[in-house]
Amino acid sequence: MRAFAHGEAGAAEELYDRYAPRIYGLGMVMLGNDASAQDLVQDTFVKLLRNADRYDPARGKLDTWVLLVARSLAIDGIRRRVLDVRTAEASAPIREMSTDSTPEEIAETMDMAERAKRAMTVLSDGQRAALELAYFGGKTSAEVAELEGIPLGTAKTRIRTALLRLREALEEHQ
Amino acid sequence: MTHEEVRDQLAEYLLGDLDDVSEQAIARHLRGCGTCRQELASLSEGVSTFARAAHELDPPPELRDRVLGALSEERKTPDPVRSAPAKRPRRMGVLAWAAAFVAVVLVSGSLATAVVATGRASDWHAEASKYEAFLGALGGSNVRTAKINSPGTPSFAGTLVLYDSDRDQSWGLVLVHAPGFQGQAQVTLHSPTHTIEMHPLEFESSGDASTWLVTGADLRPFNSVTITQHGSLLASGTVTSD
Repeated sequence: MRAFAHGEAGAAEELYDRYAPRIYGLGMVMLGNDASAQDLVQDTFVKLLRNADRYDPARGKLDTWVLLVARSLAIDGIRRRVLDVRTAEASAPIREMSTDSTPEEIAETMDMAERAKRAMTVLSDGQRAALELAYFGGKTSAEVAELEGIPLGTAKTRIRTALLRLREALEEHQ
Repeated sequence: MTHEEVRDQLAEYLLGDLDDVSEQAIARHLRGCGTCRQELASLSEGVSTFARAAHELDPPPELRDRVLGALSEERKTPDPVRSAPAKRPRRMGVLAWAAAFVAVVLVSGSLATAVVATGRASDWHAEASKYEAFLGALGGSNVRTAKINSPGTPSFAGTLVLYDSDRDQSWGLVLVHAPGFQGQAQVTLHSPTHTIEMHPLEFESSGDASTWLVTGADLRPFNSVTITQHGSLLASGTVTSD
């Protein structure tokens, strides 16, 4: 990250090769089309460059930080889209396909959604719903609690437990 | 905050979904709690592992050149935070001037008193904590301190005080005592990715010296300081946990 921030040769390329697939995939899942996913990749790397000195290793690994920067931008994009549409449908599930998606994009997005679903089979339905809302939907625990009709403490526990179980389960399969 | 209260909110902290006050409280707790840091690391691994499994997809090949081109263009554009040398105030409001002035006067006064009375740097470190409440009222999210020590001779001892403002008016203060040392010394703040050169220390005949900066840059990632002369390390310090 330091090399990237200082503009050292090859650092940007290395960071791109390492993280672009995950950011692009996140864009496909959350934003639903190739153009938006590509924009998300570009916007994320520009933001990483601008905020390189804000990365705090004590707060989490670099992988997570990069991913959460991308996720935050994707959520901003969804919110802008919601404001633009200004219809009741705009509050539909965030992974709804955009109307200008091609059949290939829809297929890829479906595949991504399927992979996400498979990865989350280790979770209970409640944990999965809470994590989806929090991770892909950018919802706070209070919002998750309200949407799921569960106590706040339960929502927090479900999100936390889901992340810990995913870590254990997915690492076992790698 | 208790461990249970912190653990309860760690996932939201990691995902960036907490308000500023809660986030800062947890950050303070984490600095002094290895158990909670370990829990945070586990949650972070969970997000990272899940991302690899759930949404990794090769982007179109042409995107690589587009993104690298955008980054190249971005580097040509001066950025106030990334490039801020912060040797001297970049953007100072009345509040910042007041905070810096009062703090420098107060802390320097304490320093002088401590030096005269005891000559012990550890007293300066203790003094720093007295201003936390005062500085917090000025919009600071946290005050962090570090003891500065030298690995050899001449003997350097002192304190680094970092004030993390949530109003773009953060500041840092370095106070040192090095009996017999003369001339100037370079002071550098370090984060994992960046450095900030402060105004050089200019030692008085008493061996005392101080320097400070006020900046709109985010100082939170900066947690250590080095003092050098002609490239040789004279002294250093790292911020300690709460």
